[in-house]
Amino acid sequence: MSQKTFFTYIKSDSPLVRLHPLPKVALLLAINFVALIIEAPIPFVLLIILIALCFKLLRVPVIGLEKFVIVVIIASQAVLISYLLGSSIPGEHVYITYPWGTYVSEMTLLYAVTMIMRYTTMLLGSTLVLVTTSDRDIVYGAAALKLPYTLGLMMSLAFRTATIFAEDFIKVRDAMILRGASFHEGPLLERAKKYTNVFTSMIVIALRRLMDIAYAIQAKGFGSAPKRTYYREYSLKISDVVITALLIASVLSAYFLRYSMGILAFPGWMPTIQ
Amino acid sequence: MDEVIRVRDLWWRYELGQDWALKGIDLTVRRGEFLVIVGPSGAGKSTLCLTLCGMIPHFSRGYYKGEVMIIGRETRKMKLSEITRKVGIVFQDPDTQFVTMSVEDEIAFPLENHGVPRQEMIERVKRTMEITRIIELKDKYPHELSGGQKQRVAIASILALEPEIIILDEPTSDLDPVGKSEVFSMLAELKRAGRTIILVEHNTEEAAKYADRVVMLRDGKIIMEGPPRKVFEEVESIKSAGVYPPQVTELAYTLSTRYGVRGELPITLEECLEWLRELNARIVTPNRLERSPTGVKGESIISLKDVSYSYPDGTAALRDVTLEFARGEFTAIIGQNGSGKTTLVKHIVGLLRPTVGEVRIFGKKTSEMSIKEIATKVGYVYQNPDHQLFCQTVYEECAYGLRNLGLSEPEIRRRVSEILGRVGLQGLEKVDTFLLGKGQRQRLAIASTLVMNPEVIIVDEPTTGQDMSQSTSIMELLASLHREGRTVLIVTHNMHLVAEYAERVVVMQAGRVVLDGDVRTVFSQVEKLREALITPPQITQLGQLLSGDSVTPLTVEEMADMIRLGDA
Repeated sequence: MSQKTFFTYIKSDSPLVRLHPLPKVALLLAINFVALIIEAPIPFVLLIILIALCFKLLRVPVIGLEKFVIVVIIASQAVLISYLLGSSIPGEHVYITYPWGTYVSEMTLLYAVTMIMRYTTMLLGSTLVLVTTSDRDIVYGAAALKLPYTLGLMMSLAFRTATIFAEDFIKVRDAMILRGASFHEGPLLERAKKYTNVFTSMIVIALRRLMDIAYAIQAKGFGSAPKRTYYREYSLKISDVVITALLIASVLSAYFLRYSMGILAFPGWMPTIQ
Repeated sequence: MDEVIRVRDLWWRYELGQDWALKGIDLTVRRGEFLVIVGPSGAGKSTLCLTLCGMIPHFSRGYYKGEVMIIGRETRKMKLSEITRKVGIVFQDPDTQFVTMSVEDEIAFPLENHGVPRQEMIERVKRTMEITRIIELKDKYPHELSGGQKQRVAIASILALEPEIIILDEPTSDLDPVGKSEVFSMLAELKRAGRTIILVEHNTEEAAKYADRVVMLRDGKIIMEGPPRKVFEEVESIKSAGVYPPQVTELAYTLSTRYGVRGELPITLEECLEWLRELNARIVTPNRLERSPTGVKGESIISLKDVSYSYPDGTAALRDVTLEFARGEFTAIIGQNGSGKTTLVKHIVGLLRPTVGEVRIFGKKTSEMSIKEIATKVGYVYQNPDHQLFCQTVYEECAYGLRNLGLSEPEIRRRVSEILGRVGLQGLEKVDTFLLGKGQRQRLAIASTLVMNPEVIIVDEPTTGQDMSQSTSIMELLASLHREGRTVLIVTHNMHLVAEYAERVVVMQAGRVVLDGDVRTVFSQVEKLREALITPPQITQLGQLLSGDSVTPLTVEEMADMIRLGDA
């Protein structure tokens, strides 16, 4: 028996699928909070290895996720370029100084790589959770965390829209291929232009969808009752409570290590807002 | 019956609209009434629905005059959440209404919003799924269902709320004939249970059976109103307004004119049988009832051999399909929702590759061809034009494929101009693609494929959501391509169009081909069609009932020519 999640279908007996929504949402939040707290490269390497191991040990399918690799590559390039062109991180060697005052040192490169690892950790970690999670988990998980229902619904709609967006993307791209477009040939600029065409269409489709979904939610009486009821009931097992507690502890530990002991900070430099 | 809705001199113009969408509408709906709203595309039907459920003016910006009263209270003075307790609405496109990721949760969602106790919610969700025949889909992802299944889920999610007034905006436009019929009988049951139903519908044959009253809109105004018979008897008037009358009414009108018969015209199949019996109608069976071939048939150009395909969730969409399509054929692929029609054509254009078996296009295996290579020979028009339009202007949209073929600009201009003329979009070259109406977008999607001059054109649901004149213009375009020797495949639920235009019909059921042959032969297989949940056109059924299944008329004209009244 397979179950539909935000990104794929997954066997219902996969350990992550069987978790209560509370630890699932807690895991999603914990991975992202920890990644935002950490600023040192080595812990990120360890975190990425740990997440990769989770994919393997928890039998999380990776087929069909190739499309997200391109997102990682594009995001990494954007991060790298932004730090190479727009930062001033002191180091022992300065390789390039730009007329606008920023420069590139060996620490710039290390910091850029660290940031790439931060976003990769967040993306991989979120993917690990979302591959095994449905909208129901997000809504019920958020409710278990005593977050407002609207927030849970908005989060689940955002994740779902992202996957529908990916499906629309494939349909529009296929339609272009059916009219002779090739996304693997020609100069880089030409290929980029083709993607622009896809995204123009996608934006229009997304806007129409957003408007329609807003109508549908209103028509289904969103916010009608002072106290919302829930169709499903989930019972928390001891293992769910333990996992949630461990996740909360890991976020608090990371915070403590970073801000009280400076262990997880970037070595020798503290970013400042200019 | 007391009034549940009263509309007085209602005017509405969208904020960015140039003209009033509704122009002085006056309408009263009584409790328990089954009201059907008909009219051509752009008449204001959907806008009227939005005013009746309070979305206008609560959720849409624009200019509003007049008033809408729901059970004695003016909608402008009510909260939207109050209105949704009394009025449920099912929108035109089911895809855009899903809020959750499983059918069961989708039905529970409005109940949760309204704070229905859990135990009652469980019972209501189950009961609604049983009524709408979706219980086996309860764990499915709504977006991956077939069009008809999606619509049943959308209706179910509103039905679960049991609102006093239920508004449905073309809910059956994407359903198979049996699915349509079931939705109508479900609505009739709700009416018997005391609910008030307001239905926007193109299908007048089903409307004639169930409606208490029909309102016809055109250009934002009510141009006709009354019991179904009073409206549908005006055959010429409603046809000129872009609405199909029931086929039996059209037949009776033709015969009445031909034989000088006076009196009420029948509007349902049963009434027509009775009407013909009273007039001593006889069937004069022609020696040969054949459709003259309009295209040039040639060698096999598409072949599928033992093709099976399963989706990632394990759903077997095609099972051992073996088919051949010859050059110059006009084929309709029909079948119940979810029977595998769209999956089949996606294999032909290479968007899907078989799990087992092989597909050949012009003798070459698709597994050895790129989609781009297949696309030079086979054009495919999507069901939803929005997925196929990605350029800024109408001209650019048509020119896109031609540029990829490397044609010169003068040649591109010539071809674009020609194709826009054929689909009736000439003069709109510079118009933004996304500002076109749905009918125009559909025609542009067809034009952008046709302009590349493929030998085979496949159109998935060419007339969904289109009114009579739009449907006719699209089908006439495909027929003219066929007459020129092109191979045409359509996937459709519209049996009238199949009977009128197609030469060959492939019937699919649960991923298999269960019938394949010329249209008359297929429509004469009454039992097999019933098993495949296909209902032939009303006029075909009438002919079969009158003749004891010995003749299978396909059009109203054909049937009229076979009937003699009285001693004539």
